Amino acid sequence: MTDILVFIKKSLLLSLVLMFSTAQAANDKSAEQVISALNPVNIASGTFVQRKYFNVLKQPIISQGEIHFEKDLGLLWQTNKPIHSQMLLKNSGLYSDDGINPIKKIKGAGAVASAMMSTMMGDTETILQEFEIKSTSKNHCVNLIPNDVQLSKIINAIELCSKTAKLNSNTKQNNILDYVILHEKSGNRTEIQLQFNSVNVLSEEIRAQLQ
Amino acid sequence: MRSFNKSFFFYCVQLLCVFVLGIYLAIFGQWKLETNLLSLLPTSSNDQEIQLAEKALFSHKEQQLVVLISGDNSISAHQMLQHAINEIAQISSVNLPEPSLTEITQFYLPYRHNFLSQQYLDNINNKQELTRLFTSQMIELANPFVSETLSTAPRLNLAHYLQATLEQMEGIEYYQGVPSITFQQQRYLFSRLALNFNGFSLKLSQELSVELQHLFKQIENTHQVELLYSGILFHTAESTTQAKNEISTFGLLSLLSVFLLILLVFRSFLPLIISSFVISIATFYGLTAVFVFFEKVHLLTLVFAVTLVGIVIDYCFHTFVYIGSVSQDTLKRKHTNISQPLILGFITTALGYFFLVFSPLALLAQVAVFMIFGLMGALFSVLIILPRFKSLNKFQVTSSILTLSQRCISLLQRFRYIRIYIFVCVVITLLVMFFKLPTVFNDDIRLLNSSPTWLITQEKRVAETIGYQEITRIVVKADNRQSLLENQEKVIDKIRAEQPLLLIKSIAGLLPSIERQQEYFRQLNQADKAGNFVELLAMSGMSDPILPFTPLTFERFMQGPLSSISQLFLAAYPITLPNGSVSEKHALWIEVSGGALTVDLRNWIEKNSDSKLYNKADDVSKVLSYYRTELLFLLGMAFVIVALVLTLKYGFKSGLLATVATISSALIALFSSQLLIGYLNIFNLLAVLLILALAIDYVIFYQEHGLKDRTFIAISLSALSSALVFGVLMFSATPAVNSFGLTVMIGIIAIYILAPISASKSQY
Repeated sequence: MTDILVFIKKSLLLSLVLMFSTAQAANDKSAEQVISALNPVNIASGTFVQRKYFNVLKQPIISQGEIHFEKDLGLLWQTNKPIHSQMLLKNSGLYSDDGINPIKKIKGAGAVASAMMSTMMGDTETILQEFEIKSTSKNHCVNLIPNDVQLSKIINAIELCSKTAKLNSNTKQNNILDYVILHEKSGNRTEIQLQFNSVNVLSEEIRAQLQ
Repeated sequence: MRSFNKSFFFYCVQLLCVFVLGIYLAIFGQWKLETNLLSLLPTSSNDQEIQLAEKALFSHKEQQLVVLISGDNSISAHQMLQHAINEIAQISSVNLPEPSLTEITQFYLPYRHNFLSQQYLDNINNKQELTRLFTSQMIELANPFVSETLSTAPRLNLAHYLQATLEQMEGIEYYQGVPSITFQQQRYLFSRLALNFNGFSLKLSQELSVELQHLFKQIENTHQVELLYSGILFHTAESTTQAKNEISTFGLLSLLSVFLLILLVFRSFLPLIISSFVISIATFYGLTAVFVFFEKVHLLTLVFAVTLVGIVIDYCFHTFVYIGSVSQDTLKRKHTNISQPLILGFITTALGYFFLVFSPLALLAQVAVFMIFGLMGALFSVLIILPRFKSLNKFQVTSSILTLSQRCISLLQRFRYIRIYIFVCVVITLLVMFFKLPTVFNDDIRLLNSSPTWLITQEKRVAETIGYQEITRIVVKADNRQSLLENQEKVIDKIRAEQPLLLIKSIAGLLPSIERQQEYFRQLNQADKAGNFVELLAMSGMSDPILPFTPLTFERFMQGPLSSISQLFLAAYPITLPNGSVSEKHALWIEVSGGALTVDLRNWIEKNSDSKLYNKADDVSKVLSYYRTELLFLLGMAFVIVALVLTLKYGFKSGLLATVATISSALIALFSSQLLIGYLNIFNLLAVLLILALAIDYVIFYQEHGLKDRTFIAISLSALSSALVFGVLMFSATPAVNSFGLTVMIGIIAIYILAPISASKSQY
């Protein structure tokens, strides 16, 4: 059952990885073609603001933090406010660190982690195996619909929206996803806004955490 | 003459009775042929109840097969397997229903205040930490547990509890909806199949094993994948084929060699026909007795039972040689000359086996019953039927055999003159070997395993891939369900206290005991009254009033969405109380992984009367070790009895020499076996029992008749035939059987040389 949770986390991470990729998006192309045309990037770094909307709450729960990615090492999702916590996706699996308890490996991550890594390396075939890609009414947005039966019991879609930006000095102007919305079956949703900074190399501290 | 007819009448009547009984039991009896090695184990043990609990918990595994598929086309291979399995009536796929998260959370909501995860429990009196824990859950990227429970259990203690508990229960990942395991960076799709019949059923196992292996090969070739499989079915099929081959090959070889021997010595078909008749009668007697006394006849019993041929033929040879050397009148007058040593020989052999009848090791008891009754049938036939064949005294041993035997006798006569020195040398050599050669006993269960290497290697690979080799299972039992849950918690608490890094998989989290739920409820209630939840409830703006304690009972839990998963861990079993009434007991198992339990912890679990480490292979080895020790004691007793009988019957000097010859041959066989195979096992000791039975026959005949040609020829033929029969067993694929064959073979050679030189009477 916790596989579902892990799957959700990693599916979202997967979509985050996707948004680091350059895309030759064009309105006349289908969503599948958009995804298929993705090219991987090697390094990315940025910040995020997450708003969680629960049906039973009037106000969203807001958190913010940093995100760091390096193709050969993995991905670090670090929440700084209101509390500090980290989620690390390495080659060896998915780990969570709340800064108090020992780092915990989230079990059952093997299959998705490997799918994740395939994606980072430009293996879009894996993404297409896990999700159905659908276009939305919004410009520059696509919906990822989970293929997995268990996952689809919880998640309706992961919406990815992009904007044009330049990730670092070595790359051209690219289409970069800057908004992610996770639509849950329960009606709750999570919106994540991302802001990427120009970066050529990750700091030693972050690299050390990912190693 | 009248008594002769009377005994013939008696013989015919009892033979008829045995035949009727035997045929009736063979056709209408409840007996079953067994190949399960574990069925050889004693039914009584220090803790029979734990055994019953283990059986109730794990017997369904005998019905299961595991198939692992890896490779680029594993999904299509998996689909082909599932499709093919649906077409086979005797097997089906095991698919556990996976309840939705909504079903699970809805089920637990009425009891939400009875559950606290370890982290909640640790921080229950720390307002700030509780709030922090709550916040971390709320901001998690996506947490379906929070989404599902926030509106009705806003403290999020239930969300955290269910998340932590269900995470512990998970072991398998899913790849495109198929259960999978990743081992050494290789993904294996995992299929569990269940047989629709008993995994030890011989014929069906053989047929299905062939069909499945063909299917697996086809899947491998079609999809270019690697396919691994394991299950008792394949071992049963292989063992059955192996045992059937050995029984037919060894049986045929033994019979052929013995028949050739008869033809060579007597140059007549009559002894051949008579021997076949006596062997058939003996086998029929033995089988009838086994059918009468045992419901399940083990295949290995029949392998060992081949040895009956060796002893029965001894009786025939002694009778042939004796009858051939006297007239019919003498035979009628001096019938006791042959009957006395035969009866004495039978009594001593039967006595030896008699001790084994009461052995809790089913194999020993079955072999013993088979041998005693088989020999009894042979004895009756030899004593009552054989003297009626008038033509028997017409055939003589060929002159070349006579000449050869006389030469051997004269050589042995020379040895007799220096026999004291020979025996002293033998005794000293044995003493030196005893003190200098370290005795190594091997009680490994693999001695009983006749499965081929490829199957064992495959089994190991599957166990390694699914991580079974690193898992420790603990069986917990109790008189009632609540006590069972409490006992389980006691064991888990102890493990967590001693080795907190170990991973524990159990149903303890899904269903805590009422006592523990009460404790969680009390702590949560106390923290609530202390205002520890005020801040976090204010964050969500929701209220969560605490109502009076309502426990989640076992019965209610078993109606819930997780009952099917929990049933894999639970079992109930009946136990007969001393007053004869039957009571239901309960058991469950806990799985520990991530490291080995410390010796102290293992000892604690073993000493605790309600828990036990589950390790069937280890248990079997312990049992073998126990019975090996018992057998050693039994052999010691047998040596004393042999010494007493021989000394009382033949006087001190002759008795002592005969005793030394008998016991020395047994010890020579044992020590030589150790030198040759590097260790001794229970089956070498069993072989010694047989050596004693044969040896005592030889020394009694030499003591009764002296070292003369007809005795020598009869014993030579016996020894040669026994050596041929037992020698064949040395080629068995089962270590247990070949150990037995080797030791008996050496023992026969030793007693063949030592028995004649120990004889008190010379030629007359």
